[in-house]
Amino acid sequence: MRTITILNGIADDSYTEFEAALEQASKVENPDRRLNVIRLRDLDIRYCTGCWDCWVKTPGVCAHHDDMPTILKEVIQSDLMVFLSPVSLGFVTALTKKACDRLIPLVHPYVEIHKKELHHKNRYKKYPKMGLILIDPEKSLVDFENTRQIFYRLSINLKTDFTLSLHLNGSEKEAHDAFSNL
Amino acid sequence: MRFLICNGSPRGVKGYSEKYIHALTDGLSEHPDVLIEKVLLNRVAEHRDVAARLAAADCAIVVFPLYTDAMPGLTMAFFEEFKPFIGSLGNLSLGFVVQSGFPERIQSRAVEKYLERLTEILGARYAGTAVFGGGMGMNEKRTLLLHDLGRAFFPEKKFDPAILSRTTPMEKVPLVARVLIGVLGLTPLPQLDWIRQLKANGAYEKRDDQPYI
Repeated sequence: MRTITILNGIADDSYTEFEAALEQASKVENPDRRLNVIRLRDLDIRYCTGCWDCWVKTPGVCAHHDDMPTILKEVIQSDLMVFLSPVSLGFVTALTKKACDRLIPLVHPYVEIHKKELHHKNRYKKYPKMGLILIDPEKSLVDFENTRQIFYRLSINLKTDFTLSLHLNGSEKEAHDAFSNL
Repeated sequence: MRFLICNGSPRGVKGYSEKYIHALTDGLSEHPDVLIEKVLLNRVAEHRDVAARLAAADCAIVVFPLYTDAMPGLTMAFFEEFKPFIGSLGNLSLGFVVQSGFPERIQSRAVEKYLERLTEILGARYAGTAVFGGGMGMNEKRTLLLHDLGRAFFPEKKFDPAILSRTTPMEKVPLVARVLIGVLGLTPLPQLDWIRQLKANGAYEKRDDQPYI
């Protein structure tokens, strides 16, 4: 069975119907996949301070004592990790970005050439594939493409494939259709 | 002329961004009519107030290190405080300085494109993005480039494209260098700085730990 972890970076109650559809989809019994939804705004997630303790003092473990280790455990044991966020000033929410920054304990500080570029080495043997779902009622293609490119770059850094990118308007119907087909 | 410089590093005055700002400010200060104010974005509680000051400024530069291919989360939190000013900052000239650990320009291209788009969303004038790749740290060459960027910022109120092209001239690592790094990668040489830090912290034996499986 595939495990899909959705990091829900919606920062407030602006998309309650959309989130209800997501919640419903996560409860549907499906022998092929488990949908694991993590609502980031309910958790204690602190900002990465760039201390690099997770690389040089406590390898693989962040210096912060908050809820992020639970997320990292879920993420690294998933087959697909999906960032879900409304568009915010042309990008994802700060809440989503905060969680992205905190993924760095998953990689090693050592560097190597990967895809003809310098990147950090793997810490783990296997990483989940990566996806992005951007909610944007205005459906700006420019914002979608810019955000997609940044997350594509992140997938290279995490040595994984960027296999899903959806641009939704935030309606309950689109949520239902999208999450049913994941 | 009011000029706001925002330090978007989570490390605040302890990080290298502060040194970049110092060099940039030195160049800007050669213009007598420029009143420079510096702010720290790691003081998250002050974001709303700083965003209002930025909206009232003539020019602003946001300096930050590249975190997971874009701005640090707290810098994005600061950007979100611009929402009341969307489309209304026509008098503002807004630029950015990005520090990137890896030497290639391509590592910062995506965020660079986003920063231009952010400026457009705000209705401000894009002053350009200076990308400094090849380590977060400061050196004499960078100090001079930042000083020059500051000095040449006026009268156009934007970074000089000729100087920008010199900040990170390498788009991608050339084939020869990639082969060399690949060969050296068979030895500990490319990792020496990390190895030194791991050993200094007594963490070398745990360097390959996988705590989440």
